[in-house]
Amino acid sequence: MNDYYLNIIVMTFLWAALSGAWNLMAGYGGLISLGHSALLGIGAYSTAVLYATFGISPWIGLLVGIFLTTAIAVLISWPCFRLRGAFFSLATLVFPIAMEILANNWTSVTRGSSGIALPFKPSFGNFIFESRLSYAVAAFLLMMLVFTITKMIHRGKLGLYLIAMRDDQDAAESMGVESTRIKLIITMISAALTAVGGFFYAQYILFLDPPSVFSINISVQIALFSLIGGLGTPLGPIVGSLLMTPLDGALSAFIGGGPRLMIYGAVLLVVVLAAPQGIVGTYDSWRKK
Amino acid sequence: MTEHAVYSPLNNTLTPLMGIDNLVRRFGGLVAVNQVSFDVGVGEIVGLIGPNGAGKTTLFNIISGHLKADSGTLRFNGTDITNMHASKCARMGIGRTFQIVKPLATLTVYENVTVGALLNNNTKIARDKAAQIIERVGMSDLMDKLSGSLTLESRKRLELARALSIEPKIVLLDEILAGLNASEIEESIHLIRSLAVTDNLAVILIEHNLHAIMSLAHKIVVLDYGVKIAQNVPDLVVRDPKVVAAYLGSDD
Amino acid sequence: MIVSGLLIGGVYALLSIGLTLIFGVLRIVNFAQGEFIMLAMFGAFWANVLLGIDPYLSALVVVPVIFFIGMLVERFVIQRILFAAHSMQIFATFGLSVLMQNLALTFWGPDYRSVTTAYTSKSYSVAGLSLSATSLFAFIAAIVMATGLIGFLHFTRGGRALRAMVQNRYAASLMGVDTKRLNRLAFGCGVACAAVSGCILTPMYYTFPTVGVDLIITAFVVVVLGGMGSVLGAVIAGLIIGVAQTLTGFYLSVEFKDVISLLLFIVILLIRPQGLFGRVGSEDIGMK
Repeated sequence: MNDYYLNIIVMTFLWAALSGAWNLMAGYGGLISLGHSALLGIGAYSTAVLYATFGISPWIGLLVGIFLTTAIAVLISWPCFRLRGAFFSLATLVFPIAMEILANNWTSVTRGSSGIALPFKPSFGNFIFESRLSYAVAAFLLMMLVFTITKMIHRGKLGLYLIAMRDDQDAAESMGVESTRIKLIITMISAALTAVGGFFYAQYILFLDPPSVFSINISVQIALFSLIGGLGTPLGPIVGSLLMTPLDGALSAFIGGGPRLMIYGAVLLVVVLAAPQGIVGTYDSWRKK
Repeated sequence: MTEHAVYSPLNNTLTPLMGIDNLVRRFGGLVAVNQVSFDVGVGEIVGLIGPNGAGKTTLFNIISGHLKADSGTLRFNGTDITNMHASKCARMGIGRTFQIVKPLATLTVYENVTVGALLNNNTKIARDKAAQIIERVGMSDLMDKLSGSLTLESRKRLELARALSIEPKIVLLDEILAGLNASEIEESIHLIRSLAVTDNLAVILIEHNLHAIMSLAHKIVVLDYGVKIAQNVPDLVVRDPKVVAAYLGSDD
Repeated sequence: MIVSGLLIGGVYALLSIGLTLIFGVLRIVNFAQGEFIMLAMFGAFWANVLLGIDPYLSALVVVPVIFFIGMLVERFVIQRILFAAHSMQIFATFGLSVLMQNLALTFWGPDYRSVTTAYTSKSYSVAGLSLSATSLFAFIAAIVMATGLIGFLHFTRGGRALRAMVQNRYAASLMGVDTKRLNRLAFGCGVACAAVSGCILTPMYYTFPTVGVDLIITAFVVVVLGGMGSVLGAVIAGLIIGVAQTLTGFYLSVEFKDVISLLLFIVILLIRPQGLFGRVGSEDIGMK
C-alpha cells in the first residue's frame, strides 16, 4: 500500500488515541486541558532522550515517560481542581509554553532547539519498524486500548460519578461523590495514556524538537477531534479523528500552518455553537428521547 | 432563652442522632445563622420554619457540608462532623434535597439514583436498590427518562429518591412540596411519614406549607433572621406569639 | 527599578481591566482578550505605516472599531454560550482566540513589526530617575482610563447597573436591569479597554499575530491577584505584578518571567483565590 496512505492511517489512529486520552479528562472529568501537548511532549522526550542519548530501550523510556507525565500532570492540576473550569484551562495553556522554554534551554539533556533525531535501528525492542504497516497495527492497538478503557470507565462507577460531577457538582457531592479524588484518578489515566502516545510519536516520527512537539497545533487538534466526534463519549474521538485526519492531511498539502489553524479555530467555534454534543453525542441523545 | 424540654416519643436514647450546637455563619456583615442549636432524634421529623431569608437553607448547607460554619459544632451519630466536606457528610449518612432542584440532566432517572446507591453497594446491587427506591417514590414509569426533561413535580420526587439512595440516617428536605398541587402534597406527606416510621429515618423539613408541617413534624424549630425564636410541638409553636409576630412582620 | 516596574505595571493593569470587567458582568473568561489587543496593535501599526498617524492618535478610530467588533462578537457568539456548559464557553472563546491569531497570521504574516515614533527612544528625567517616554505615557494612560472606568461604574446609572450585575446577576435582572443589553455593552467595553492598551503598547512592544498569547497570561495573573470583577483590584495587582516581574527579570533571568507568572498564578489560587478585592464569584471559583 502506498506510503502516503499508510501514514494517514497511522496518524488517524494516533490522533484518535491522543484525543481519546484527552477526552477522559475533558469530556468526563470536565477538566478542559488546552495544553495537552505538554504531556505528549514529556512522554515523547522521555523516550527519545533515554533512547537516543543513553541507548536505553524505549520500552523503559515508556515507563519513565508514563511515570513522569502522570506525576507532573498531578502536580500541576491538583491545586487547580477546586477552581472554576476556565481558570484550570488557563493554567494548562501556559504549561506547554513553560515546557518549550525548558526543552529549549536544558540543552544537555534535550539538545535544545536543534532537537533529537532518533537513530533508525528497527527492532521490536526499539519499537522501530521498517514497514509502516507495523506502525499502523500498533497505532490501532493503542487506539483500541484508549477506547476500551474509556468504555469501561463509561459503563462503571467512575464514569457515572464523573458524569454526575460534571452535570452538577453539589448534587453529586451530596450523594457521596468525592470530586477531588475522581478528578485525580481521571487525570492520571489521561496523562498516562497521553504519555504512551508520546512514546509512539517519538518512535514513529523519529525526530523531536520543542516547537513541533509542544505546539498549540497539537492541543487544538486533540480537542477539536473529540469535540466534533462527541465529547464525553467513548466513540467520539475515534469518529472525530476518522473524519478529520484524512481531511487535514489533504488540506495541509495545499495550505500551510496559519490558514489551517484558522480553519480549525473557525470549526471549533461552529461546532460549539451549532453542535456542541458532536456527532456521537447528538445521535445518542436523539436515541434516548 | 429558656428551653422547653421537648419530649420526643421516639427519642428514647440519651444521645440524639444529630446535635446542632450554636452554629454561626456570616456573609460579610450579615449573620445568616446566629447561634442555632437543636437536636434531632432517630426517626424524628423536625419541621424548620421561618420567614424567607431566615437562614434555613443556609443551615441546611452547613449540616450537609456544602458550607462551612464560622463557629459552633455539629455532631452526628456520636462523631463531630463540624465543617466536614459534603461528600463525607453524605457518606456518614446525611442526605439532602436542594431547594432549587438539581437534576443530573444528562442522566436518566435510573442513573441519577444509581449514583447515590453506588456509595454503599457494588454496581449490581446498586442498580437493584436504585430500582427499588424509584418504585418506592412512585417513579417507576419514568425510570429511563432523561432527568433534564422531567416536570417539576417529578424533579422534586427525584431529589427525594436521590437523597434516599445513599441509605441515609437523616434527610434534609428543602421545600420539597413547593409547587406541588394538593393531591401531590398528600402523597408526599404519606411517603415522608412512612419513611420515618418504617425506616427509622430522621427528617428535617423546611416547608412553608403549614398543614404539611403540622401533620408530619414531631417538633418544630422556628428561625427568624438567623435566630432560633421558638422550638416546640406543632400545636404550641403556632400559638407562640413570637412566631406569629415574625410571620406577620415579614414580607412572607 | 521599582519605578520602571510600576510603569510596566500600569500597562499590565490596562490589559487586565477589560478582562476583569467581562468576567465580572458576563461571568465568562475571555480567552480571546489578547487577540483584541493584538488587533488594536495591528490597527495602530497600519495606521502609522500607511497614514503616518501616531499610535495614540489612532486609538480614536481603532478603539471604537474594536468596540463595535466586540459587540458583534457578543451578539453572535458570546450571547449564545452564556448559559451553556462551562466547557463550551471555554471552547468558544478559545476557538475565537485561535481563529483571530491565525487570521492575523494568514493575512499579515508572522513577522515582528514595530512602530517608531518621535518619542520611542526618548526618556524623561524625573526626580533623578530616567524614565522612558513610552512607559510613562502608558502609565498615565492606564491611570486615566482606570479612573474613567471606575468613575463610570460608580457614578453613572449604566455603570451602577453593571456593578449590580457583577454582584448578583439574578437580583439585578429582577430589579429591571436589561441584562442582555448590558452584557453586550460590557463585552464591548471590555474589548475596547483591550484596544486602548493595544494602541498604547504599539510604540513600546513588537506587533505580531501571537502577541496576545504573551500578554494574556500576565493579564490573567493580574486579574486573579486583583480579584475578578474588580477594576481597582486590576490596577493595584497590575502594579504589583509589574514590580515583581521587573525584579525577577533583573535578578534571575528574563526567560523565567513567563514561568514566574504561572507559578504566581498557582500560588495565588492556592492561598487566596478571590484575590485582593474579589467580591464576585468566589463561590464560582470554589471557595466557600
